[in-house]
Amino acid sequence: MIRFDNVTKIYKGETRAVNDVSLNITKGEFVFLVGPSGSGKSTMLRLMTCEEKATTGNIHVAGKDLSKLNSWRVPYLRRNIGSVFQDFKLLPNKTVYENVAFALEVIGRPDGVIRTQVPAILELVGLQDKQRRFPDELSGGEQQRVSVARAFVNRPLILLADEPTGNLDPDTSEELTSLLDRINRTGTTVVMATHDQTIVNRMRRRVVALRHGELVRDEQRGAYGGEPEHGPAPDDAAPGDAPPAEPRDGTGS
Amino acid sequence: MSRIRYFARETWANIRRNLTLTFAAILTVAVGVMLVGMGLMAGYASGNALDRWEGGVQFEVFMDPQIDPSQIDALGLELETHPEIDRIEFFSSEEAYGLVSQQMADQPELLAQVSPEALPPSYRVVPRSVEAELIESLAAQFRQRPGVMSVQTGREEVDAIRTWFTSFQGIVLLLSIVLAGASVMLIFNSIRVAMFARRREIEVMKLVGATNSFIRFPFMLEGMLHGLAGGIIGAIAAGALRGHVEGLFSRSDILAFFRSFVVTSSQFTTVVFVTVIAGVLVGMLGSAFAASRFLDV
Repeated sequence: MIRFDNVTKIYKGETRAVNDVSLNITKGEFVFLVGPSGSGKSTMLRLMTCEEKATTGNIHVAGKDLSKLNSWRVPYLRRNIGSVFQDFKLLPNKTVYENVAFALEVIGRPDGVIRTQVPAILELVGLQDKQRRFPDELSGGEQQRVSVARAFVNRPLILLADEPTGNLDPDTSEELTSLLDRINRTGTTVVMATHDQTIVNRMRRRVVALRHGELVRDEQRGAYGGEPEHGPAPDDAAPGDAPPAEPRDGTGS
Repeated sequence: MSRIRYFARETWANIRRNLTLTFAAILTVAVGVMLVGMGLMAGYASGNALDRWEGGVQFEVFMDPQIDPSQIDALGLELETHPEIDRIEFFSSEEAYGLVSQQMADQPELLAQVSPEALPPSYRVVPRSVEAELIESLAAQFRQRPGVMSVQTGREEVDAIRTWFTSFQGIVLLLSIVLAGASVMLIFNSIRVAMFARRREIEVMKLVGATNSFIRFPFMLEGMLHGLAGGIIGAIAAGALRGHVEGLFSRSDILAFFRSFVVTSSQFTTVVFVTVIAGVLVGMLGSAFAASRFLDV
């Protein structure tokens, strides 16, 4: 679903944001992208949505070679990718319903689809009773759920979340992560960049760690900081939570 | 359906949010295209007036005052029976002197130097045709006749007036080009402001995969509507100007030329068409510049 082959991204001024990263994420996986600020997590996500072009190396997303993608095709790629951000990026002058409907409207979906899909997705995120509210009337957790609803309403193949819990308290963060988990169970590939250790350690999903733009660790059912630092016995962490994707890719590290 | 509603809603919201700049843009377009219309109408009207000008419709044949009166009569007969000539009027030397003494009534010392015998008798000839070119060729036929001193048509006056109107049109066109440039820049800026006000929406649209043309469309539509509104106002102003000028000149007794200084309704239709199209083009140009400048992926 997402494949990086020796990808390097150098911003102007010689900053090596991503350095020779190879990574393969298969359909239906849930991947945590971890690492300190400036380690290249956000750049990785921006490379996947074609907001940035790789300096060298190849990126494939949803079957498309991004280096060969015409710029007019980029919007169509993005329709397969939902994005969630730390600052929600909701439109303050639109209601919850309108914010979600907007995502379908601007890609030209017919009225009928909008009328059925928007309430359905709001029910999925548990906001069916707050459709007429404006974003500033909601709590942070609710706002982030609206933004997840907006990202997912078009049923994308991939959901990218850049520090989605960065502005939320621990309980709300947990709720949001379990929402992403439920979305992942519908077969959607989820990539979540975070430095929220609690969540990563509790979920026990694939962890890809970056440092100074380099991929330093890639393990299935991993923990945030690797085994030696945080060791609450990895085995007992929700064994029933087996991810749908089996660890069969050998790329990385 | 959702698409049409979306475009209508977004475009209207942009215009409302940005009212003063919108008005400035529309009014500049209106004045600019009104000038275009004015230049066009001046061209049409002067053309029409020159074609039908009474000064061009008749010409005068001045005879040599020394020749035998029978020769004068013979030429008069020839003129009268000419198939292309409607009617003629004869002015003897004495009648010419009468006219001159009327004109010089307040300058008796000048009049004293003029004797009736020195003034040429003349025929004022009114041809059947009103075409300036035909009159000119008709006049030329009589220029070489024996006993004819000179033939004067309105040709020189016509040429002078035509030159005057051509340079008037040139100035008006130049002004309208300057205003068109100002309009493009104003629309460019008002669209830029609209885009800045909606940068959040634009960001979200790009995020969820709206195409560039979809994102641009409401802005292009807005610019086009600015231009259209300006074009229509300009056309209305041009119409008002036409009515005013024609009303003013139709009563003109001093300048016979201006009595036919009119724009026909088919010519006015062209003027309206050109002004509205010019407005729309200016609007599209300004918004297209803004869209290509500020809406890259």
